[in-house]
Amino acid sequence: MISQKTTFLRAILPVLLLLALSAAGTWAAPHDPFHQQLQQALLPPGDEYICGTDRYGRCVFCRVLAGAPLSVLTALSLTIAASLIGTTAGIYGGYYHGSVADKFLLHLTNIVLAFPGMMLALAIAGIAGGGMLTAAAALLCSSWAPYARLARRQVITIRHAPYIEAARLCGCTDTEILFRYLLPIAVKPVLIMAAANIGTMLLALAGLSFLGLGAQPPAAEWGSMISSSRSLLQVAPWTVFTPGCALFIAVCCFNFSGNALHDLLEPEHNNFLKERTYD
Amino acid sequence: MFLQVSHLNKSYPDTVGTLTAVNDVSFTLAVGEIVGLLGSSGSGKTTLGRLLTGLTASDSGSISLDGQIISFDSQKARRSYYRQVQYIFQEPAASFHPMHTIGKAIMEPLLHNGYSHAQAQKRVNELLQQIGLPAEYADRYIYQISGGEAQRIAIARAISIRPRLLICDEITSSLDTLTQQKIISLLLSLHKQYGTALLFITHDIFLAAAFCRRLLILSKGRLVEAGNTQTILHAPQHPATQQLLEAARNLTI
Repeated sequence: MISQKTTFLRAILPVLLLLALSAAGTWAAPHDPFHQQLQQALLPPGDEYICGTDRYGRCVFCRVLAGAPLSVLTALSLTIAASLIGTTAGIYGGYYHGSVADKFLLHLTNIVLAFPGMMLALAIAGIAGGGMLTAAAALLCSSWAPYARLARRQVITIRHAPYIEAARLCGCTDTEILFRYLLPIAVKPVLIMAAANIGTMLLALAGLSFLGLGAQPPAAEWGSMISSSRSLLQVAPWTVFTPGCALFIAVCCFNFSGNALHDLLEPEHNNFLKERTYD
Repeated sequence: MFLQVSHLNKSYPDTVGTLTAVNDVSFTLAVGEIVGLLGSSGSGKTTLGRLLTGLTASDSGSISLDGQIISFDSQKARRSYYRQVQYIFQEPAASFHPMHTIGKAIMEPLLHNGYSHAQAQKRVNELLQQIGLPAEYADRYIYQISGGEAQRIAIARAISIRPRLLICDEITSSLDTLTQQKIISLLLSLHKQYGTALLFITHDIFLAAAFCRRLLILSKGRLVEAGNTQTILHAPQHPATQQLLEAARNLTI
């Protein structure tokens, strides 16, 4: 039997590691990630540059490190923002199930969900122009909907539970019931979903940058690094593989965390966390 | 007379049309009275109990408390009504938030009724003592205690703000007879101490007859018979009452 403490460590360690790396960023880099030295261009990995240099002679390893805050922190904060917006819309709609506000939110959610997320983000980023901020805003527009739907479903399932009615009898107002009674229960599956989605968000962000709609050069962002070096894949594969590996490791870390968080919040033998339907 | 129920109606959409759960029910309750609301399964007892607390909205009819008609639409009116009328659920464990401790649950109505945190905590200890549970129970969660204990805690929560009427919906039906007896004597002692009126909803006519002075018999959503317990026991008028009595006698023998 794995203890809760181990599971908690399993959930938190990979993310802490990534965050530490992101925080270290440029500071831990042995070279200046933005300093161009054309005479040092496309050096293979060696003693001086452990992951080689790119076409402008910049240290690839340093650029990956420098890109970590932008890639990881943006993905993380985007996921937090999307889940917050989605959950708020979802619990509100679910609690006032059948109201005009609920119907509006439900239709809006369905419209957003009807588009493939990346397509919608591409369209928004395409219209609004490139740049990290527009890419983030575009992804936010397309990623809150699944959270809204999940939270709404959760709230609809439990809003007639006797303990919610008991809260009303105790004199609780609607706002108190929403935030103190419904939110703590509805937030668990949302948290699990969010943790599992950070990796996807990281990839989507890299994808937008790869297509030229995200971070713009000379900014160090993993997706744009892969994009700008893809013509060098056969000549200098390290320029593509290094940011690719970083992306792979970061996505894995977030996914491992997500799995552990799932085990922590939804243990099979935990009575009170089991889903119960009272409809 | 402090609670007056007039022509209460409630129907639900059904697969074949509409199901009338409560049909033109009118009755009154006197201050500090103990009344049993009886009926077989599906007779509309629980719906009536829920209509009385506004947990279910009625189609028509009115409920008045001290001559004032209650509107459950306004949050303020609801709050002041719940200060006087409380309801205990059939499933005690399901009526507590799984992530709140027992102490927190009992404190909820107190904090909404002008008690400070410290006063509420003190009152929780008093209440736990009153229902015969150790003070440590305040730190437990609902899934850590038994059904009988949960029902006693539900009573403690409902009486914490000393309501004038307590509606008990089949609160003993899932308990063994010994625990049933404990719960009933707890209710009676509370009635004696605070003069709380009790509306005891049950299908068990003998259990209700044991301590209710007046009985209301519900059948297919209609109030078919009402009167003094002894009169109803010895000379039931309506076939539904006769059937309830017959069935209960057969089971007892």
